[in-house]
Amino acid sequence: MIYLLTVFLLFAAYWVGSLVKEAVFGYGKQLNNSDSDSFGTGEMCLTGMFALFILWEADALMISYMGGSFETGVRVYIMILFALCAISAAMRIRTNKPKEWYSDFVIPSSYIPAVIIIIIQAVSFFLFYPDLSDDRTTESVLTILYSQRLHFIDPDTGMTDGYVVSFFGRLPETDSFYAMLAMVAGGRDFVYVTLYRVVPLLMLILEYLAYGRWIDIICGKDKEGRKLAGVLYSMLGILNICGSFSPDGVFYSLIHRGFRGENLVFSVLVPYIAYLCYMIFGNKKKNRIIYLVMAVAVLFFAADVQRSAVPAMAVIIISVVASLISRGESGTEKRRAG
Amino acid sequence: MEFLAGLLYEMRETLGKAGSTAGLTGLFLSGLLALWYARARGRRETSFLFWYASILLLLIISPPYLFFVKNWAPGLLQSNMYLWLLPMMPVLLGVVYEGYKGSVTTRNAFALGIAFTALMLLAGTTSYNAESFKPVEDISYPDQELSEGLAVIDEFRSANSKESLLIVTSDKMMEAIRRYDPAICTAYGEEMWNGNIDPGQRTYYSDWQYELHDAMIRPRAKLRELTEIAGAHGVDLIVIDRDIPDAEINSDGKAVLIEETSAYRSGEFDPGDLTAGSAECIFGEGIITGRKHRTEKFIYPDRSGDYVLYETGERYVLYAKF
Repeated sequence: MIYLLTVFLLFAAYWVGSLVKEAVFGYGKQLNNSDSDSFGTGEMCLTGMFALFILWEADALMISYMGGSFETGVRVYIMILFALCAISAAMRIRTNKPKEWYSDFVIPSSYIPAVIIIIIQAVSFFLFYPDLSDDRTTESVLTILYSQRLHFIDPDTGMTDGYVVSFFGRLPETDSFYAMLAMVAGGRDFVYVTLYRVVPLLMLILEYLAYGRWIDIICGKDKEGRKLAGVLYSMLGILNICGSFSPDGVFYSLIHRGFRGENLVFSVLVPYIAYLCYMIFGNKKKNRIIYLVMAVAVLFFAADVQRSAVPAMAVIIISVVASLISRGESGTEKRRAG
Repeated sequence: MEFLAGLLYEMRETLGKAGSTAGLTGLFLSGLLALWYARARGRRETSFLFWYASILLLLIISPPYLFFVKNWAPGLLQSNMYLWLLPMMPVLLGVVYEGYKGSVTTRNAFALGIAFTALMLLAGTTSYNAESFKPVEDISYPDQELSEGLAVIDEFRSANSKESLLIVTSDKMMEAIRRYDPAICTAYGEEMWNGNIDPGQRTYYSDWQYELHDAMIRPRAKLRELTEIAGAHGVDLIVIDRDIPDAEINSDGKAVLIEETSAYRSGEFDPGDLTAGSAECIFGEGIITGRKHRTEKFIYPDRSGDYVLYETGERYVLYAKF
């Protein structure tokens, strides 16, 4: 049953993402789904997940600085989450009939090979041991659940002597988020399953959602485009599987280190941030700036500044420059054609 | 010329690290070429990806970036290869897409499929390592190799009704213990031998912890020093891997100097009287070699000062505070 936690999270992300979408695009506004620039279910889940991370970040910072109990923080978070989902559902009922929501969750038949590959990747989490080198995520999560405090006990030693955490050290909260998931799942006994199976599966799906934005742009939303999109999703999965054999390779991280914060940065945030920069500066979709701000906020949640914000800022700068150059090129071509 | 040669070498090294494998680097560069070709067809998103990949490539191998990373963000060097993930993915997808559009014959599509599969296998398997395929037997044991040691510590805890312990042992076991049970504390942490992983969190160690760590490098040779320091700072258990070879033998050829236990000194018992269920004592200038019986349960008497050997499994030796 613990494996349904991923489904629960994505479902909650969908509702919270829907709420954010209403705030960004305007309440009740229907987006044209045939337009490749539209805002689909996948992006709603992705941005909803960002909102969940940011919400947890705020909650965890409060626990950390006020010295409160971790369990209390988890209860507050879950209550807020349910409240947001309920509000979102209530707002959607006013604009769409519930039976119309079904279309949001329909997967085209051309995506079935990609779904099979995702299942194969998910099964691999059961078969292969995670890479725990140079990482203290497991220790942190166990220590948080044991002590019910944040940033109080050194995860390396289990003692408080000599343990110092700076303000920037308190920002990355993936460990406490996973501890929250483990607590919801049933406690300390579920930590390993949560970290080594549930979280990598979640990150895998978020990776597909992030690269899905690029696939939508490349393929378009017509029938032929959807067929090609299915092929490209499958290629993404095959690349991940091939790379999982190679510890020095970039695709290794998702399968064997899916629980690490930098995996969220490089597999999910970086491609999505580049996409947002392309949409904002290349296609002039200014309303997506809010999502860019959210994605940048999640960077601080995911990993320390050196491993998250610095490379992401490089990506933003490169994306902006590339967008402006490509926009200038297309403008020049139009003038020549005109 | 030397400066230029050095610079080119550094750029090549950075490119190698960014690509992580020759296959991936080749994949990236060939995808870049494909994007350049596709850009000529006027698709704006392809143009964006082309410029994105080009600027990223120029940035990664540029001297100012190298200077910045080396001096202020060395951790970024390792992360470089992940930045390639983004342009590489749409590049590859773009290559497939352009190839799909251009493949008007079955033969062309077949050739494209073979070429692409070969490239992907090259990208994935050029640094194949058998470690990445270690099947998991029990996900709750952090490291299968250390499971005996962890089980022995668990046995000691339950026999003595102690949930929390302060332990010193080998580096690898210390890491595994913290991933196994947060109630077991270690005298020092991974930061001692691996360095600081997270710049936002640090542990400042005292001199005795550094001395303890040094003694644990050759524990059987430095057992006296180890027990003195550990005893002074409340360490409950010293766990030693038998596989660590004895490094120092004194001039008489004797093995290890162990503190004589107070019970032995007072003549309360003779090692020959030991029966199953009691602890074995280490005394004098050598370890008793003829008295290796397995204890069925551990005794934890309420005394202080000395450490007592509890002989356990085939590989691990426990010294518990007496």
